[in-house]
Parts: sequence; structure tokens; C-alpha cells
Amino acid sequence: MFTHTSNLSHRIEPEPQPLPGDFAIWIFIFAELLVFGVLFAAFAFARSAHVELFTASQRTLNRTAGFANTLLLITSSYLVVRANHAIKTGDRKACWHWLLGALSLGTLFLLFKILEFRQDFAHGINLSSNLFYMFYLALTFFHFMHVIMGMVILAAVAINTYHGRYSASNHTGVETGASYWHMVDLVWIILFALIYVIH
Amino acid sequence: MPTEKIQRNSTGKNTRKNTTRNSSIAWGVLLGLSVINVELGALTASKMLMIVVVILTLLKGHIVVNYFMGLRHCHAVWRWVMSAYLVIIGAIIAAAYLFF
Repeated sequence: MFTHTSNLSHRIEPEPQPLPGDFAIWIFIFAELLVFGVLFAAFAFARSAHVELFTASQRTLNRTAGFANTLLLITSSYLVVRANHAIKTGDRKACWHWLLGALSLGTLFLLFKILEFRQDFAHGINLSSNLFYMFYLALTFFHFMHVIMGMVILAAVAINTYHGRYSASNHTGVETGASYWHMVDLVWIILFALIYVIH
Repeated sequence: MPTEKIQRNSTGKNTRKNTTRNSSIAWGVLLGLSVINVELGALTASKMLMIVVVILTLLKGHIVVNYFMGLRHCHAVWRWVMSAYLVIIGAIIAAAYLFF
């Protein structure tokens, strides 16, 4: 038998919540966003001094691969959101499955990126090729490392979920891992637009 | 007998189902905006086009912050911090492309 609160006589006004997860991860997130922000600004101003070079070099990038990676990360982020929702209802099994899905998509992202790097290197593109390629390789590789770190965190969260360490009343770990993963997604959204799209 | 208290918001709707639905809609919108951004990127370059892509990117960032990170339920100061970050980054990029 289920009982539920009345809709009009007991209004539930949501109170502002603290940041999801451990506050320490948010210090880290803000610091990372700041670093990437500086790099994005540096790229934008470097481009202003070498417009033709940047435009011509950008055309050689594999935009399809970049777009595919965008879809993968956005969807992976969504699966992490679903995992978070699941553990809040105490559904550990669903949380575990959603996290596995997110990790699978993250793995695909890394694979696509590695293939893209291989293609770039095969065409003779490296850090010394020109200023655009230096920024492109440095930024995407820096982000690549953050994806790996995010996956390590998510994997740890997934293992803890599997072993029943989280519940509806104790899921800070899931929120912490999720917050970091969403940051990785957010950075890629800006990076993809800046390096692959805007011209 | 098991009892379950269903959290409802001020309009009487199930809060958890609402949250999941909102996240799903956000996901769909993000995918759609990504397609639009890529299609716009294939067009001939122009300043107006660049501004549109920047705005759409900031909108995507805003959706990730509020509906994926869940900051729309948090204290306003955190939403403002993240919004300010997105706006400042967008403004710097746009300024670099437009004026330098």
C-alpha cells in the first residue's frame, strides 16, 4: 500500500541544495575549468594573429570524428545522470548498468580519439608542424588525459556501486564522480566548437 | 506493508520522474544543438555565423551545468559562477574573432 503526500495542501518547495558530491572535487573542477579557459583564450587570440594559417589547418581536421566524439560524450554524460537518479532511489543494479554504459561510451571516445591522432601523425602533423596544430594536439591530448582520469573515477564508483557501498541515503561518491565527468563533457563541448567548428 | 512517500513538487508532480524526464529532454536538446553547430560549421565563414555558433555552444554548456551537473537545484551563487565562466569564455572567443 502506498501513501503519498497531498498535492495542494502540502506544497513542497525545493530548498537550494549544496553542490552535488564532495566539495573538494568542485575545487578541482573550477581549477580545471580555469586552466582550459586560459588555453581557449590563448587559442582564440593566437588565431587572430594567424587567421589564414588557422583556417587552412582547421580544414584538415576530421570534423566527423570530432562530432562523433561530441555525441559520445554527451550521451555518456546523460547515462551518468541516469545512474545518479537510480542510486537516489536505491536502485543499485540500475546505477551499475548506467555506469557501465557510460564507461563503454567513454572507451569509444578514447578509441576514436586515438584513431584520429594516428591519422594526424600519419599525415605528418605534430606539435612542431605549426601554431594551430600545436594548440590542437596540446588541447585535445590534455582533454584526452582528463577523459582517462574521469573514467578511472567512474570505474571506481561503478565498482563501489556493485559492492553495495552506495545507497539512497549515501551516494556522495556517485555524485562526486558524476560531477567530474560532466566537467569533462562541458570542456569538450567548448573545445569542439572552438577548434573544429568556428572559423 | 511497505509505504513509499513520493516526493511531489508544488504542482503535485512526482519530483524524481520530473528530474529524469528533464534530463532526457536536455540530452535530446544537446544532441540537436550539436547537429546544428556542425551544420553551421560547414557553411561559409561569416562573423554572424561565428556569433551564432558561440551562442549555441554557450547554451549547450548552460544545459550541461543545470540539467546534467544539477546546479539548477543548488544555491544561486554556484549557478552564477558557472554562468559567468561560460559568458566570459564566450565573450573572449567572440572578441578575439571579431576585433583582433
